Amino acid sequence: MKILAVDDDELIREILGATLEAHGYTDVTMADCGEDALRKIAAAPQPFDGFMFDIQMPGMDGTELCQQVRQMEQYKNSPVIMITAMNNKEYVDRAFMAGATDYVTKPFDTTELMTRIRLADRLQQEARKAATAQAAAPASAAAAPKAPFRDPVTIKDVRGVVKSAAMDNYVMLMLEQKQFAMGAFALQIPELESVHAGSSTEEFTYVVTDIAEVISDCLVGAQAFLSYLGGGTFVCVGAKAKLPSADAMHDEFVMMLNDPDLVYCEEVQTGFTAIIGDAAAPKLFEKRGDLRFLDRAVEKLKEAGGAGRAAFAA
Amino acid sequence: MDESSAMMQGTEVDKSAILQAGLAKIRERFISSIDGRIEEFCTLLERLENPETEESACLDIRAEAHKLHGICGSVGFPRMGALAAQLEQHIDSLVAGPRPLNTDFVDELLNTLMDEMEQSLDGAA
Repeated sequence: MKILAVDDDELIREILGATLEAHGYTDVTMADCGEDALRKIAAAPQPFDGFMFDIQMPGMDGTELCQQVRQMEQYKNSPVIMITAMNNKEYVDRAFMAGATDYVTKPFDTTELMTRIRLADRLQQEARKAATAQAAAPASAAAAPKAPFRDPVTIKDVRGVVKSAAMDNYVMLMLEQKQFAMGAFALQIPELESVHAGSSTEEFTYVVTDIAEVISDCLVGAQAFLSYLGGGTFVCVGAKAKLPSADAMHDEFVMMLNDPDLVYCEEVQTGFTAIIGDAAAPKLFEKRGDLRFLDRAVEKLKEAGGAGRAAFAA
Repeated sequence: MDESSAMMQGTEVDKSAILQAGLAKIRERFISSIDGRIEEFCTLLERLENPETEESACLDIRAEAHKLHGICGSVGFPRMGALAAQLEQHIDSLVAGPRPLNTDFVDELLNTLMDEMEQSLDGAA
């Protein structure tokens, strides 16, 4: 795995280098600031497989760097591990919003650091295999089989939308740092099943993306993240006190879903409805890092009448 | 234990030994940097006394404390790291609040941190 690690502290770079090297990751490039990182990315003869960015650096910080890297086509899905010594929720939120997939905290715990790197390595290898298989598939997009409705689709460029693995990582960080009482709720759009049946994958993804934007708009001010689990189900997570209740959110949300300027669905004529579950929160006896409350949020959706196909499995 | 398990265990031991040797060198370099860091903090303390420069001094102290917070635990100085983190967090809440800044507690925390740095330096000698 070819890694670019960026930190303004020389000793931290040395610790990272020594730790990675001792565990067999010898292809590691170091940069001392965001600008240096961008120069090294541009000059790299072979693309990097993963990144480690310190969040807080003078000049361009790690979050801005992450944003810029995500704009590069070849790195739009690459693992980006943020390095943080702080427990300032705003910084962490901004990093995940910018497309970070994971984090490690300073001071480093070697075992934890290597777990994160190996996880990133595995994700990168899987992504590469999928890309190779796609490249080897018949050129006609129509010949490619459509992904099942229960599978998630990738939503891009919507504020607060992250993949479920990144959401797991974000929630774990927040729980570890006891930042606030967290809550999560799930919502389902039943009509997405007929949209899926009657449209191409690309068209379906556009509709899901539009819906994600509407959810994101409804969550403005709630400091929440959302993820599409597949099966027409989204899960939202954030500070429990700031999440809207199902009742408070429902009517305006459905009205927005049915505004063709917000959710454009040409292929399948349908009116959208929404099932919104009550919020679930971590229980006192649950250990830090226990993410069962996300599953409970999906369970509550079933109680509210959702089809319950999706499960929170990152 | 079969031969391959013994070899794997041996490789793990090698990795750990290589890493520990690397970290020991970094720890030495950190220790040799403590004097310079204390001097820097002394300069910043002077700026902290001047109302015209106290806010920028606070931000510079925070930046240095942030670095210490990040590195100390990895090189065997957890208390120094914890004090640096406390200073960093206090400055964050201070600068987010009203003006004029009351930097008394910054001064106190920084002096405590510098005492710890000096003691760590003495202990490592």
